[in-house]
Amino acid sequence: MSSPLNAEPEIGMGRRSALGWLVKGFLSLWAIGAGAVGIAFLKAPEKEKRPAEGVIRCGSFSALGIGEARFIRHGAEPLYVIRVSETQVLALPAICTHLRCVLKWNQTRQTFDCPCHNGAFDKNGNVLSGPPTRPLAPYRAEIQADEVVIRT
Amino acid sequence: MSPDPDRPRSSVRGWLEERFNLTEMFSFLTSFGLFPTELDARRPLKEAIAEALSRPFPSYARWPRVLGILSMLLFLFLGVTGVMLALYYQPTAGDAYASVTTLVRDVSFGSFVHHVHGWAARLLILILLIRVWRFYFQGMYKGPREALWIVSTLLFLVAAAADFTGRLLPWDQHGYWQTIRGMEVLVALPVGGWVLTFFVGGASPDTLVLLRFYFLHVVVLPLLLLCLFYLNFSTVRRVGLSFSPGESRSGTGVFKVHLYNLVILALLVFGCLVTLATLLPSPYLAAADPFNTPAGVRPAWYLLASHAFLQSIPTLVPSWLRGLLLEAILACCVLLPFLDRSPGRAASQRRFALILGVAVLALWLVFTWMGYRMEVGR
Repeated sequence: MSSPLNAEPEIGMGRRSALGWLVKGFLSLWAIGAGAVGIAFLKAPEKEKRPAEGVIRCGSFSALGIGEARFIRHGAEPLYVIRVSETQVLALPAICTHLRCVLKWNQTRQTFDCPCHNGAFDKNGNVLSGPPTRPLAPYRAEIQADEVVIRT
Repeated sequence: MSPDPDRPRSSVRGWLEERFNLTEMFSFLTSFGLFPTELDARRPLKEAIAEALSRPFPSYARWPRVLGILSMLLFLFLGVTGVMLALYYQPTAGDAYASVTTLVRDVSFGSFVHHVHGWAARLLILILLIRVWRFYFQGMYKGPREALWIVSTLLFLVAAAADFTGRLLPWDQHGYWQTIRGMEVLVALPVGGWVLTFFVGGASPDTLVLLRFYFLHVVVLPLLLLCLFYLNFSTVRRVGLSFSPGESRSGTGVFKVHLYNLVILALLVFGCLVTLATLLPSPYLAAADPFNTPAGVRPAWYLLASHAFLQSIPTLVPSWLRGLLLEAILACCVLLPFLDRSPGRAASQRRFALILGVAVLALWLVFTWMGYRMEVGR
């Protein structure tokens, strides 16, 4: 190190540090941008939780006996259609509100049983036993010319 | 610069030695558990090895130091069988089950490779867990082995992640629903759950989730494990093997003994894997059906305790806080060397840490049992 360089440090050092900050700023902006692009690229696409807006056709009404339930494979969330009387059907999601296992219809006990933690719901979707705390949220179901139709 | 007159110029090694730093390469390649000490990279290979071997050392292919090299061996078996499986596997929701069925049923030794891979994975995470507990009870997280402790805990966590992602790949009922059950635990966690939801999406796996799990399982996590194993053995090389207080250092030997031990160990591991794969093949149910939850499928065993723990806290506490508590406990385990300020390694110097360790281990076993009971099938 020769002394003339050290003799006038103010202007030189100021410029050097400004340049250094510029380089650091540019590089970090670049890193943030590139990282954001990568993360946005890797984001999983949205999935439909409830069945999409519209109409679900659930088959013949008269073919369904009173106290019988029909399993409808629809989208990511399957559902049950239950005939409760001569003229009335109910539609309930077939997904347990506890940890999202697929419920099984128990014809003799008229309940929905969860195979995972022994939770049970009645045919109206109310919790009977087990760990679930929320009831099953029913869909609006109606009968149109002997066809069960759900509007969401 | 004239070459060393002692060096045999005509030999292949001499020729290579002038063009590559063989000592450095050898040092790197053997740092996955094969070679006990660091090598002087400035010296020619033969000299450096001779110098390193002249120092006697206890073989770490023997109890109680065997666990590290044992997990490395299992990782090697997993790598080899994993590459073999990858030649037949098709990672889409439509084809995965059929490709695995073909592999297990029709390919020569296909079921053997498949089950050896599964058993090696189970043994690997079990041994990594036992290793962490051994380190804890023998106080081997104390300086200068802080890095060894952190790497060991991370090894267990990453191996568990690799196991978790691997269970989905056969796309059979058991693995599929096991993954869903496990995901329910994981997505409920505050930060880790958000990351998982962001990159994997909802709880119901489809082709996209399968492909991401596949990529994690065959590329990202094995590379991470390889890096961690390298760090593990590098720090052991640098700080030396450990001796518990009072243990005599007379069990020293030569490299040949270590090598024989290593071969015996590899054969024993292979024998165990063959026996287990033959007698206890993993359950293999029908193809995955998103609309039918089979009874009696539990999450992977290392997730049972966390599930029971989250459920056992009264619902008064919001679920994100419970998850945060779980993550805080996990972080404390990894960062233990900086939290335990007891003066030394000896049992008398860290009674509190030992009592805490026994309590945590007992609680973990109880919660695992509770989780096992909670997830009961009819």
